[in-house]
Amino acid sequence: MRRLFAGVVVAVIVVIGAVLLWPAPDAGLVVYSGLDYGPTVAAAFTKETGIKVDIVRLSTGSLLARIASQGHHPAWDLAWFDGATAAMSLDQAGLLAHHLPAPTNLNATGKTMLSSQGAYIPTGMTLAGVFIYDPARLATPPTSWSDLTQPAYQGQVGMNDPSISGPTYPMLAGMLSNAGGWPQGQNYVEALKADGLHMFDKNDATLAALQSQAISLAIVQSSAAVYFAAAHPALKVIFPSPAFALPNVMVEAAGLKDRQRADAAKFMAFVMRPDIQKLRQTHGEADGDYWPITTDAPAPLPGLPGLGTLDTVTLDPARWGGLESAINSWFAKAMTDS
Amino acid sequence: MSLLRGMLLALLACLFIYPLERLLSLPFFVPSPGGIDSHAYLNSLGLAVLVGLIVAPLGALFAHALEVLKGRAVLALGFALWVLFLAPGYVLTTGWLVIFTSPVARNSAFGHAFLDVGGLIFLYCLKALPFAAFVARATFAQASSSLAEAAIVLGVIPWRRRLLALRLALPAIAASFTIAAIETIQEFGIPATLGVTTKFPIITYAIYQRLNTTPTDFAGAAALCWWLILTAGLLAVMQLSVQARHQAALTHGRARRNPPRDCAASETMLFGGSAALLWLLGVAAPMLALIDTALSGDISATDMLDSVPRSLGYGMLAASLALALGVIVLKLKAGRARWFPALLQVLLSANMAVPGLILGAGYVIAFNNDFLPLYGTVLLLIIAYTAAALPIAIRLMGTAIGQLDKKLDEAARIFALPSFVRLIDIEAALLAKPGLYAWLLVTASVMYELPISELLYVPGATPLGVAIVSADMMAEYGQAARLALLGLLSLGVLAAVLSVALNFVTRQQPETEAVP
Repeated sequence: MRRLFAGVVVAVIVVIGAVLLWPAPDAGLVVYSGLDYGPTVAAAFTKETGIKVDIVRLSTGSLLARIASQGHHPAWDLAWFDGATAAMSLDQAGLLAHHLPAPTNLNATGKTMLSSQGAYIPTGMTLAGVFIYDPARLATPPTSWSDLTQPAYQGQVGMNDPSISGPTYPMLAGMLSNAGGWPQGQNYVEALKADGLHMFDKNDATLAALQSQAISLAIVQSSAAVYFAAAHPALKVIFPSPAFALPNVMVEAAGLKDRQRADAAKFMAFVMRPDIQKLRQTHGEADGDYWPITTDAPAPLPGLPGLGTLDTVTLDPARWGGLESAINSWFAKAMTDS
Repeated sequence: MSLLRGMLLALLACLFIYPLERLLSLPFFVPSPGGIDSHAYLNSLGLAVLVGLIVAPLGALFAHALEVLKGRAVLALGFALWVLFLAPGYVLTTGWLVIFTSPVARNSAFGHAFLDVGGLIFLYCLKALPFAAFVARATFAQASSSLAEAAIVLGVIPWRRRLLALRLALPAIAASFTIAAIETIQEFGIPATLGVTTKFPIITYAIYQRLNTTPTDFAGAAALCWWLILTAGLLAVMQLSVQARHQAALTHGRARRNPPRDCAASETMLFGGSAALLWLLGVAAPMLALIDTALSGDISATDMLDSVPRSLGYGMLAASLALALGVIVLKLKAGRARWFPALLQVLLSANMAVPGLILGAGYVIAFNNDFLPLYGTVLLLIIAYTAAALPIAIRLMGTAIGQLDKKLDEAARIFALPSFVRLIDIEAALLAKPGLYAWLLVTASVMYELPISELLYVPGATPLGVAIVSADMMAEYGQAARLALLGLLSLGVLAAVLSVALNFVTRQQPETEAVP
């Protein structure tokens, strides 16, 4: 009996080990997705082409850190996330393939977002920071970035941590750019901090703080704000002037084999098809609230105003991507200094 | 045998020395792009000292009570300390965060205090108290009763006797302070969950942020790791010096202990009240909040449920490997060679002083190259879990193996029993119960392990700890609670099934007549 028991225990452990450690069969394309619609699009792609896609859903900040940590031994083939500046940071570290196939039928906005070396392709656009607020607690909301430093908003405003929330760095870069550039814009951010700016990890945490009344106004990505406001009609969204364009982009790991590159190119073309863009909008939860950037794409979802009605600015991803490390480090220090 | 010992040492060096050397040498060769900010370190040091000062006298008091008193109050106190010892810090924190999701509670003075540094201090104290009490208890366990008896015989008045007792308890208080301070400065789960760390930086979370957020900064993380290790080392040296100076006063000659006595009424009130407070604030409040929030909302919409069986599997596999390796280490340690136990002690003590966060960071760097490209694989995660659990596995199994009578093996050899029979029917049968408890403890600790999981988990295969903390970060407390409770439930079922099976297998067999 003892031997039987010992045998069963050993067999169970061996089976568990085999299940956990057994190498996966050819996973096809490994796609790191920071966007909600990634898994749905991947499933549709596999269904249509037969090419397997192992989609890994991560927050954008975690996704970028993973790619940076893996360095020149990437466990991924494609990555899909918000932020051309982040893509440029990865490219400057030599981690990305070049000459990716640009999407066809890009509209004028889309064409401005192309990478000069083809290190990334734009697949849509959101805004890096918009204001979502509770009218019951904040009767007169701000409409521009400079309004935020007014005494009425002291201790009322919250934003994400750019070191954790991927889409927040472009917003911070935009704030700095709007306030005179780098490093001149530091004074503006320090003034916000002195006024009691609250910082939370990511969009969800900042919006949860707004809901729990820890803050009265949250600065978050447009897609998160519009989606959240749709579920909480008491909250209102303001698109500040200027608003900073935040393209969602796709990048490819450097050094892929030819077959993987060919499959990756098929996937990149697939996600830009009008029917698939519709799928992204309807199955993308918060990330579905984006502005398409191709001429044949469906219209944006109803909660989004026309891009022409907004004062949008596109930051130079090469310049601001190169500054990301220095700015994030400075910001972390500035926010913790008393 | 020497070859085996050499191979084992090489394996341990590969598991501990190589990754730590790779990580800790970084600051000497690579500058940190973000520079080194001392805020996080100073905050953590201040908190560690404060928590040590709060917890050390309490820990020593509770340890003394557990050693010399008996009764329900002391039993409840000891049980509460064990539950707090085993409960992951981030699960307790999640429970308290659930309580403060109510705007009324959040906006109250208590809420403001808790969601600031006050909450960190409170939770750190809760988690450090069992460590402080258990370490001090070991010191009191060596104390002889002759001093107290001598004081009574010589007619020393009660308050002076108490002062003398306090002075004699100094080594225990020093040990409590050290372990509480070290545990606090190395704690990762609480700062990772409480969310005040963005305003009040904590060193462990600062290390993690440098490794797992953009821009990554390995050199800066390694420099902070040095500060953490040196501080823990310094605290340990201070404690050893106090121990060396005052221990002789407490444990002189052959210790003679009195059996535990019943509590006086005042002692029952004091320790009963303490136990009630610990149960209420440390266990009942957060656990009831977790259960309440877990049962509300859309239970079917719980994401990442697969993290529960996955982490249970990781825990079972890593615990089996750690215990197997631990038993091999203990067997080889028992030989005549003196160098082997000494080297082993150095290796394992060094690893005990290094928190999982630093070991995990070392693994990220050491196993992400052309020769050992293991980063991003389940294999590396299991190896890291095993390495982190090995010292505790050795300590848990060491006592049991030490009690095995060598003559059993000798007798079995004389009767020419095959090695398989000796292993299963003699050693395994005798070690089964302590082995099961050790295995369950290691399985539980790996299942809820956080820092190594955060740094080394395979994207797409989220472990339980990461899933709970991710849910916390998004304020999805219902999901975090359901995952935490399902994990506990699965561990409970596993423990119950294995205990029943083991009792059945190791029950006394009826004697059978030998057949010639």
